[in-house]
Amino acid sequence: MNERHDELERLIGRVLREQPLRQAPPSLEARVLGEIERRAALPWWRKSFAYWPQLARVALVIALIGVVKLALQALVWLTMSVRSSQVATAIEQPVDWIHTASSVSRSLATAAEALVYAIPPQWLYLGLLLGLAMYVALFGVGAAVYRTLNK
Amino acid sequence: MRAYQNMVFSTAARLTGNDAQAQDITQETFLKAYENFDMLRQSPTAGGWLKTVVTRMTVNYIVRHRNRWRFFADLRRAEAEDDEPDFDLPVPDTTLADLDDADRHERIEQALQGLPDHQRVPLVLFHFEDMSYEDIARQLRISLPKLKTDILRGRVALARTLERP
Repeated sequence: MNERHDELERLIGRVLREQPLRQAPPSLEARVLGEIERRAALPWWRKSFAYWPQLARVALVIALIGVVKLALQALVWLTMSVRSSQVATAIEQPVDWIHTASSVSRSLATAAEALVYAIPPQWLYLGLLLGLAMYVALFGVGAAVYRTLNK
Repeated sequence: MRAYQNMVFSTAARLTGNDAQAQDITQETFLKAYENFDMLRQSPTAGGWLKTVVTRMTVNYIVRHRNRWRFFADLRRAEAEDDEPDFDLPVPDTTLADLDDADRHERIEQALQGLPDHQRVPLVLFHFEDMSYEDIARQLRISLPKLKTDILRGRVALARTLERP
């Protein structure tokens, strides 16, 4: 079998090597030159960072360092403020609301658990099977659509 | 650009199997070359540089595009194919000898374009770009046995197409 594979490889290799280059479309050159001109006409701030003037690059780096410093200072200020009692009181209200929401969701979970135990197990298995069947059906439809579109 | 555009376009077109995508990739390749114009202007290896760039850009494009559809594509392939293709060696030395050169070349290009991506891409990388099986498998991120099977299937499919009158 390997000999036949080698023979086929040689044959196809020879056929493909004899192929001349394909002709590029005549419009390609104009298209590339047009794109080069379009990019060259862009203002410097819309080009990539590597094409920015030296001065602008240095200015941007300094500005970014300034922004980082400001952000760090703001973080420090926020941390200090949270510790003060006035801010702590302001935060307590949303925390209370979260506690209430959490106890309500716990009650709902308990009620749901009781409900699940009340349902006969056959119904649960049937529901699971139905869900599984719908999942498989949707998966099949998706695969069929993919094959139809990619024929 | 005129000296290299057919080579760059051919590489992209044979790999993608799609002329519109090949034109986009060719354009990007020449824009990249323009960015490196100072380095390439006097370089005797400009052609090799362009070939490497267009091959890498096209393979990246194919791999990125493939990943989006890989799941369904693998599913379909698994259904449609066995492990090892059976074939009777179908191509005699006189393949398409009754056609003139232009028709024969056109017929072969069409047959190549008609192959599915997972067969055409490794076949083109092996026969046109002279890449080894190992390099192709690494670039396409597939296993070596699968690559060899895909290339063999591609050759068989190509040979069968060429055999038809």
